[in-house]
Amino acid sequence: MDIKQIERPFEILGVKFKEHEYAIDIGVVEMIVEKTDITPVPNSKDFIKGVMNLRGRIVPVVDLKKILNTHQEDGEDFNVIVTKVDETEVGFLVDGVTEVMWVDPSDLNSSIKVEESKYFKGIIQKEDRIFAFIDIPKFIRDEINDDYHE
Amino acid sequence: MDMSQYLGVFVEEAKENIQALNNAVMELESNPNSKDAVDEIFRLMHTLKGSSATMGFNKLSKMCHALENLLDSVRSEKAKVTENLIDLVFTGIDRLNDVISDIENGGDDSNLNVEEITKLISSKSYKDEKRSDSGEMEKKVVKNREEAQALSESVSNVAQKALEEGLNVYSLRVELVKGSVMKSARMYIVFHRIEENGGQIIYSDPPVEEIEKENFETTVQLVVIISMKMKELHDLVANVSEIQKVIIKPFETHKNVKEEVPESPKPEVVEKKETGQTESDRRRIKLAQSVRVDVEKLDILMNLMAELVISRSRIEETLKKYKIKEVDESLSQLARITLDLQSTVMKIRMIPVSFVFDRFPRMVRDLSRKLGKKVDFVMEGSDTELDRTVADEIGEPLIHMIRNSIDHGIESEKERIGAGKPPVGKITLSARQEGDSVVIEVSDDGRGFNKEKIIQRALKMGLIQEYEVGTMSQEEIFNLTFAPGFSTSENPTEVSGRGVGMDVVKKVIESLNGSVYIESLDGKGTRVIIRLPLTLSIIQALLVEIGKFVYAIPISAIDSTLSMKKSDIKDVEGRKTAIIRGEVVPVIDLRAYFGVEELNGHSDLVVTNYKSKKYGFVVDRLIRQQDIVIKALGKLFRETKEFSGGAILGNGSIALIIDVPSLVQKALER
Repeated sequence: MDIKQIERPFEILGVKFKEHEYAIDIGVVEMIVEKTDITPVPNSKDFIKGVMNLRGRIVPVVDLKKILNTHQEDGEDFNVIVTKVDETEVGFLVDGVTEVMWVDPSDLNSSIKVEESKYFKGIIQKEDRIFAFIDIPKFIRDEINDDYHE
Repeated sequence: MDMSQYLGVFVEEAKENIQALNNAVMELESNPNSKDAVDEIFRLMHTLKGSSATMGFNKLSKMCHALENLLDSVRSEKAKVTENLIDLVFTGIDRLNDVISDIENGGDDSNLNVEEITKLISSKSYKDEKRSDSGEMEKKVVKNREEAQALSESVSNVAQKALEEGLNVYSLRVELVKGSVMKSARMYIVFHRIEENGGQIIYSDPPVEEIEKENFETTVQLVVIISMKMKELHDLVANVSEIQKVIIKPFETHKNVKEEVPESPKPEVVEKKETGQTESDRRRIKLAQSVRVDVEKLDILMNLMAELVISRSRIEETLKKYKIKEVDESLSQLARITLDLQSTVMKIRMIPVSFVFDRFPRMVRDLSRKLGKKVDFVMEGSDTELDRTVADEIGEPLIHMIRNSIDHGIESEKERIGAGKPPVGKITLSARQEGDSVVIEVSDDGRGFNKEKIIQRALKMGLIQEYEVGTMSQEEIFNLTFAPGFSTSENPTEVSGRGVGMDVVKKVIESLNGSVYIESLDGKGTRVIIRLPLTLSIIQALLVEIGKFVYAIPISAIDSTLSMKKSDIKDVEGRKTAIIRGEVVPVIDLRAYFGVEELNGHSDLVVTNYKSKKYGFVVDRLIRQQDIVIKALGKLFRETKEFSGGAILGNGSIALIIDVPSLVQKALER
C-alpha cells in the first residue's frame, strides 16, 4: 500500500525497544503473547530467532530489532507480536507493547527517512511522542512470500 | 444470488463427474451395446449440465447439453456407437475438463468453444458407418405427429425418475407468432424462464442447436421437469412476447401421447430396468454416507488434536506432584481417548488410491492408440487408502512409469507374436497396504530391461567406469536408469529408454519418504515397485539432544545407534570418520554443525543411511523413540533444508526434524 493513499484515521499498536517507540498497523496483528520458549533453528537467516509453539502451530519468530538495523544490544524481549499477512503467520520479538491508538493521516509524515531500514513507512507524531512506523506487510512479502527468485 | 461459495463444491463435483464420464465412455467403447454405459454417460452429462447452469456457466451447460443430445441419439438408436463418436465424446469431455480447470484457477467458461463440438455433432461426421444421412436430416424438421414416437424411451426413463421423486413432468408445445423475427431469442427466453424456475428441459424438438440457428418454423416441442403446477408453467411461458400459443399437458411416460389431454394427472408406472436401477441406487446410498470436507478443516482438527495431547501431558506433569489415584485413572482414560481420536482423524485424511488411479485407463487408451500398440490395462487394489497429501503427489510419477511401460516396455504386436507372447500387451497397476506402507506396483509383460544396453549407456554418460561393471549387481545396474537425463540418448527407444523422467520419479517418491525399486527380466517384462508411507504427517522418529535442544531423526533413515568415546573419531584428511563394525564411516558432529557447545564428554552416534552409504551423526544424547506429528516450518525456512519440519513434543517444546539427505549433502559440501 502506498503511503499517500492513507486518508482515513488508522489504528496502530505501539511497541518499544528500550526507550524507543515504534508503531505497527494493527490490521496485521493477530495476537500479542508473552515470550515463551523459542527453539532456535540452526543455519537459518540471521534475523530469525527461531520457532515457537503457538497453540499447536509452529510459528517463526523474527527478531524485530535485527530487521530495523538498530539497537543491536539485547533488550528484554518480553512480548511476541504475532502477525498474519497473506495467511503467513510470523511472530515479532519486541521488548514490550505500549498501547493501541488512533492515528490521523496528518500525524503521519512519510517524507522523513528514518533509520536505515527499507521497512519504515515514516514517522508518526502524537503530541510529544514519536513513533517509527514499521511496514510489516512489506517485510513479510519481501522476505517470505516473494523471494523465490533469489 | 452469490454462488461463489459453492464454487469449490461445484469444481470438485464436476471433476468427479468428468472422471466418471471418462470411465463410462471407456466402458461404452469396449462394450458398444451397453445400455447402462449410455445411461450413465447421459446421467453424468445431465448432472454436469444442471450444476453448471446453476452456477451460471452457460457455455459449459450448453456444451453438456450438446453432448447429452448426442448421447440421446445413441440411446434412441438414431446413432450408432462408432469410433468417431467415441472420439467426439472424448474430445467433448476433454474440453469440459479444460474449462473446469480454468474455473478452478479462478477463470470462467468463456474459453469454451461450444461451436467446435456442436459443429462436429451436427455434421454427423461421427456416423462413419452410418445409414442414409439425408433421410436422417429430414426427420429433424419438426413434424408434430412423428415426434411423439421420437420421444425416446430414454426421455421416458428420465421423466419417470423425476415423477418418482415427486416432480412434475410436462409436455409443452410452444407456438410462436408467424413471422416472428427473433425466434431463437424468444425460445431462449422460454428456456431461460423454465430453467430459472428450477425446471429442466429434458427434451427439445427441434434440438437446442437447431433452435439457436433458427432452423425451425414456429413450433417447438419440449419436455420439462419442474416442481411448478401446470397453470404456473403455462403463464410463465405464455407471458413471453410473440408466443402465440402454449399447449401444456402432463407428460406421459408411455409412448402414445395423445394430442389434447389437458388433465389426466397420474401417469402409469413404467417398468424399471433392473440393472440400471440397482446401480444408481447403490450410488445414492454411497453419496448419502459421505460428507465433503475441506482438507484445511481436517488440518485444523489435527492441530486441535495435537494441542489436546499436549494439554493432557501438561496436566499429567502437574499432577505428578500430588499423586492422586482417582485422577490417574481418568487421565489414562483421557490418554486412550485422545490416542483413538488422533488415529481417527488420521484415517479421515486417507483417501482411496482410485483418486489417482481413475484417470489412468483413459491415458493408457489414448497413448496406446497413439503408439499403435494393443494394451490391456488392469488396475488392482484401487480401494487401498493413503494420505491425501501422498496421493496428491504420486500422480505424476505414476504417469511417467505407465507411459514408459507403454512406450518402451510393450512391444509392437508383430514383435510380440514373434517372441511367442500374446499379441495384446498387459500392464498392471496395483496397490496394497503392507504394514505402515502402501506398495504400488507398475508391471508390464514387455521387453524388459536390457542390462547390456544400460551399461553401455551409463559408460557413455560417465556414470560408471569400465572396471566397476564386473562387480555391479543387477539392482545397481537398474538403478542407473534413475540418473538424471539417463535416456536422453540419441536413440531413446534403443536403450529400452526407461530413463524418461525416472530421475523425477525417484525424486518425488523419496521426497515422500518412499522408495522405488526395479525388477526386470530381459524379454519378459518389468516391474517397478514403489513403497510409500501410509501418511506423511506422522512418522516414527528418534529424539536426540544436541546442545540444549531436542531434535528428531526419522527412524526410516537410521541404520543403528551406538555410544562412543571422543577417541573413536579419527581425522582422516580433515574429514572425521569412525570405524563401525569394521566399516569406515564419515562422521558429522551435529553439535559443531549446529554451532552449539558440547554438553559433556559423553556423546552418542546415530548411524544413518543416505544413498545406500552410511553416515554417522554425533549427538549429545539419545532420548527415546516416538511417533511425531510433522508440521511444516514455513517459507521463512526455505533455505534451511537441514530440517524437513518440526514436531511439538509432549511438554510443548518443539523438536526440529532432521532431513538426513539434505543435511548430509550440505555437510559434505562444507
